[in-house]
Amino acid sequence: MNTLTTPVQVGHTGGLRAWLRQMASAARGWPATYRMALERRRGRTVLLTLLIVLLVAYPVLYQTVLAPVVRILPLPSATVMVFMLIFAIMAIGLNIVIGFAGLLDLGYVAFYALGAYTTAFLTSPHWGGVSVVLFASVPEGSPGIHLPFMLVVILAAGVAATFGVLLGAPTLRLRGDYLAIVTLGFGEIVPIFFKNLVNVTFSFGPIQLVNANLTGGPLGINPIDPPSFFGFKFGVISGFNAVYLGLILIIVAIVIARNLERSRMGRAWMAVREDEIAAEMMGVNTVRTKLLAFGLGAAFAGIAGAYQASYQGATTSDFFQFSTSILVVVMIILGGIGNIWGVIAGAVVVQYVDKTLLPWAGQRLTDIGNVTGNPALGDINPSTFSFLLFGIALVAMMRFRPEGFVPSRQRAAEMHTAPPGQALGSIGLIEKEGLVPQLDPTEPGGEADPGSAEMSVEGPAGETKAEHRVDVTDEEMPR
Amino acid sequence: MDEQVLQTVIIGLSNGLIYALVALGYTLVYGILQLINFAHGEVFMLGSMIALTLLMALGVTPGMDIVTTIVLIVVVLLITMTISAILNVSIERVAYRPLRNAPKLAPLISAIGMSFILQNVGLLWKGPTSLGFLDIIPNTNVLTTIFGLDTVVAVSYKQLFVAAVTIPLLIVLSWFVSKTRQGKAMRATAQDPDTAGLMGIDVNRTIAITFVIAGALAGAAGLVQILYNNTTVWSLGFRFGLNAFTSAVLGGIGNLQGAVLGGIVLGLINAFSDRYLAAQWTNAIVFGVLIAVLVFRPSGLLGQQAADRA
Amino acid sequence: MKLTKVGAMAAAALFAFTACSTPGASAPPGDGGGGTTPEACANKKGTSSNQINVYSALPRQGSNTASTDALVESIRGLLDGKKVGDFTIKYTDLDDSSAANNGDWDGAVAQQNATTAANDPDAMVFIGHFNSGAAKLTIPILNAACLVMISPANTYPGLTTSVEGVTEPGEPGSYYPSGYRNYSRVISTDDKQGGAGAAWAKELGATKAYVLDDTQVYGKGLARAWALFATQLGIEVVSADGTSEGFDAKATDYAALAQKIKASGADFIYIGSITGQNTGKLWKDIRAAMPDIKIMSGDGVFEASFYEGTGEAGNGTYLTFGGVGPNEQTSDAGKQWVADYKTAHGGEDPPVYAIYGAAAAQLALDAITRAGTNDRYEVLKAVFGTKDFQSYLGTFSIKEDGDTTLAEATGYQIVDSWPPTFEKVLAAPE
Repeated sequence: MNTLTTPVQVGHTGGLRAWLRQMASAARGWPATYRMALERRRGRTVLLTLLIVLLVAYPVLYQTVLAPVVRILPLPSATVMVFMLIFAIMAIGLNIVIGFAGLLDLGYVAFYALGAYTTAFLTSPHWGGVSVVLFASVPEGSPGIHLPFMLVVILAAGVAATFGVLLGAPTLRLRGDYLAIVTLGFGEIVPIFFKNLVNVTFSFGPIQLVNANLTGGPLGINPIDPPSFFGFKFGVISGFNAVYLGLILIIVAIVIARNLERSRMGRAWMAVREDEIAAEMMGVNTVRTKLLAFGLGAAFAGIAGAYQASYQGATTSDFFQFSTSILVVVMIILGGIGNIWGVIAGAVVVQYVDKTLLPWAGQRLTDIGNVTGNPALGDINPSTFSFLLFGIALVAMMRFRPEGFVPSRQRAAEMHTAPPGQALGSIGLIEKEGLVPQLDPTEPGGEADPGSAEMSVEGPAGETKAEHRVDVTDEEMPR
Repeated sequence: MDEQVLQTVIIGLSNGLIYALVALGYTLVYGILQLINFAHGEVFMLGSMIALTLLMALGVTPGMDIVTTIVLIVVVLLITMTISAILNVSIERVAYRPLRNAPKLAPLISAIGMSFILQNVGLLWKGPTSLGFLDIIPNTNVLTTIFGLDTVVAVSYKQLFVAAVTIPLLIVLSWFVSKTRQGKAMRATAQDPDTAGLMGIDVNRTIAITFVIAGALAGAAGLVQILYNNTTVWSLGFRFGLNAFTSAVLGGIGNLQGAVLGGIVLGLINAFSDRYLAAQWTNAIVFGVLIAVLVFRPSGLLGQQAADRA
Repeated sequence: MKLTKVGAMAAAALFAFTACSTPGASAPPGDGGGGTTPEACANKKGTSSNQINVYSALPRQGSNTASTDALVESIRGLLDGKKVGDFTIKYTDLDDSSAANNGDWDGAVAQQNATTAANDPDAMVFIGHFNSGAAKLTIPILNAACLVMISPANTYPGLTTSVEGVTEPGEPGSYYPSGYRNYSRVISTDDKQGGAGAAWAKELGATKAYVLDDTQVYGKGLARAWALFATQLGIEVVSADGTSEGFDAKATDYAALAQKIKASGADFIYIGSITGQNTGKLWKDIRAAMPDIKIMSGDGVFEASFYEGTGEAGNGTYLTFGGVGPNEQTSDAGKQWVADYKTAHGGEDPPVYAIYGAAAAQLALDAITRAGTNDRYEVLKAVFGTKDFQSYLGTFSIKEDGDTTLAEATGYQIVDSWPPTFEKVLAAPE
């Protein structure tokens, strides 16, 4: 039986218990899954494994073996790694909005700010009039609200998601450029609100505010409690401990994003991205799809904001500028739009260059200058070249490799074959050029084995114009 | 009209005319390419820096006599406009033309990249802090000194200068677009590039000329910025560009008269918000206006373009 | 379905981790002081046997170099390479500013600098910051790492004390979550500078004043202090409900704001700001609308780059300094230091903060010497135990809250060039 002629049911049926059973079996079967992944996609699996080992071992290495060369080689410090993770989480989230759903959001920093400020409100002495201490690491009776970190992360994600839906709602009818500009506008307005709500006099029913300092303005809110579990603090002083916390957060983020990508919602996003009208015709609720894209994408920014605010222990409106929104877009574009691993790579590389490589280059220049008797060399500050580098990278990438360095193969195909004047997708391509889709199962497998299929689109002369690969894994097998 | 309100109007008009000049650049390019030229604000910023450098190099100081000053200012204006025009058309060649057939996202991202590059050029050229320039054009109140009126309202030579530069440029542009063959070619290409090509119009050249004009206008605005606001900084382009783009959208993007009207309206909004509300909220109000226009009346005040652009 | 997955995972995580967040045994917030060693200060001995690191964090770009170049020069001259017992001091000059902020201090960068110092086990003293807003963000970081900060230039009172109507509720305790003080300064605070400025304004004949601030910690604090004292002295403050009004440093034009001020009928303007917040344009636009109005500002603009930015518009501006300018120093050591500086710099006056940087470096060196060992807590105690220390600024002690006992403010006026001329020593009203 060709497993691919039956409709592939992605996801599970059967409620919570079935899902827990699924998780348990997946957990138990992980050696087998790993072995299979090694066979199937050796290169990628080995790479991933090495990466994970390196990541876990790096902090130890950094502080022991590598300690003497830390100044000489441009090795990222704990803070830099934390920021890599923060931006990677944001990149994953923005990838959902831009990469999956094709909605160009240039105001992403607003949700980042919302996450950070929610954390600031809920884990600091800011609301001095009350004292709510719940499972937190400050003593009883401390002023302000102090909730545990994991709860705050979820709340921050929720607040950001809510605003994502709210701010996305007016944009539903807009396309392309106009959507970008409206989101840009929101991305500017939200930080302005945070900056200015310092003298609020407002009365509505029982709520009476007189000269209330709601957000701390540019002075900001600090200190914010660092994340703490088991009595350990994971804030800025803790060095690499915070990195481990970040790794947990990003693994959760990747899992969620992966699941979303392969779910019905993920396919709905793909459909809306490629041709909204056709999707509507096919019964996809485009309103719900787009709002969920905004909301879920924003939730990731909320998580990143919460992590950042707790890590730094402070937040001010100055931290949230338009340039951050654009920076995340740069990461996605450079890394590989639509591909979760691509955008993570983009985030890591951009942060590394910005925070480690360029300052290191500056210090080397100073050293070389001092040694060769040319102290003027030390005046050149490579960090001021960062915009230039990113700008050139963007222009060059769009010219030569618009799908990014680690592309999703589908988007790569789209980018290189879209006819002029078309939007971000190209399903119409097939009808237009009279191309014929071929289904080609590469691994037939047995009846109930997972397999994979490649769909390729061939041109009139038989050349391959586009490819799409579907892997049906154990979980996705119809039962 | 109440004198205070009139004064605010005058302030708003002066800044508004500068926005209009830059907004025209955005609207011209969008009309012809359906592309938001993110880098346009930076062309304006570099134009102001070029103007500053030239003015200082030519030794223009407040004490010089009027004729020399005017001649030098005109010279600097022409040179700045030329350089900005060349800059803008080069940007088109490098960043936009190769992407003519790519999906819409690509030139937009390229424009953002170009904007980054130019900002950094400004930063490396003139340093991180804002630069000031002397008051070449006197700030004295024309109404009291020349006309002897006893009023709180102040119209200075500076504001007259702004009008003296921008209004003729607008008239020339308007004549160019509506009365000349090249202008007709531009309008045709904006309407339908493929058909225009079939009709024998060199589409590439027309687009290049559009960029030349847009760049020249931005350069002129840069000179006005230096002589009116006396200041420039590498990050000027972003703020100003956003205001100018909002003006273009407000008036109806693709519509020249709309850009001018939008610029004036936006200048007035800025001035009134600063004067009667609080300066810290002005930016939020500007963006609020932008969003409201795009959501409720995407064709703008005067425009006819539909919202549903893919 | 996927939402259920997410929900289930979230619930599981929540249960697991909330239950594991145990309250740590941290000391109660507020003034610590003597007695037992605070938890954060246990085991803070350096790892090196012959090197002690001192960091400074100052804005080193743009208009700030006018002041900070001299600061760094004096600190380096007094500390780098000096031997204290077995230890040699190594001085590192960190930059608080970023190009993204137009060369001005950047909160994120300042925090990173503090983290760098805090995570260096051999760092014993942190000299910084120049901007009160940066200190606000970094004191808690250093507090958790038991690293003492000596500031040559922060004047915002809320970092060490609370002043009704000027500082926020919760300050200063909120900056010291580990329960003890680690921040000190060699310059007096803005409640005194603001008060002295208000008294001077009253003498100059101010009756109706408009007060502006750059919305940053220092500028806002100073302006609010001035407005508070001015009101007490009988000057009517007509901006923003009797207190200070923020102006937008990123605006390109202040003509409308100037019009607003003019329409309010004010005869005096007070501006609390640092140079880099577009002060050049602000002064120009105000002067254009009101050529004769009196303007006063504080030490945040007390540098050559300010006058370069304003040009003629700055003429006539009254400036207060929360300390004593170089030519008005009274101690012999101070006078000698100023003379040496002038000799080394072709007769030029040192920027007002340079001598305060020198005094901070002196204090750091003295504290390290008194501590006798490379243990952060010992050095911190030495700083806070400073009594009758003889420095370039004269003799001073460090109080329990970290403030210095020096309390003068001086008044200057820009006539038609830089530097401004000295007018008088100001006294703060009680």
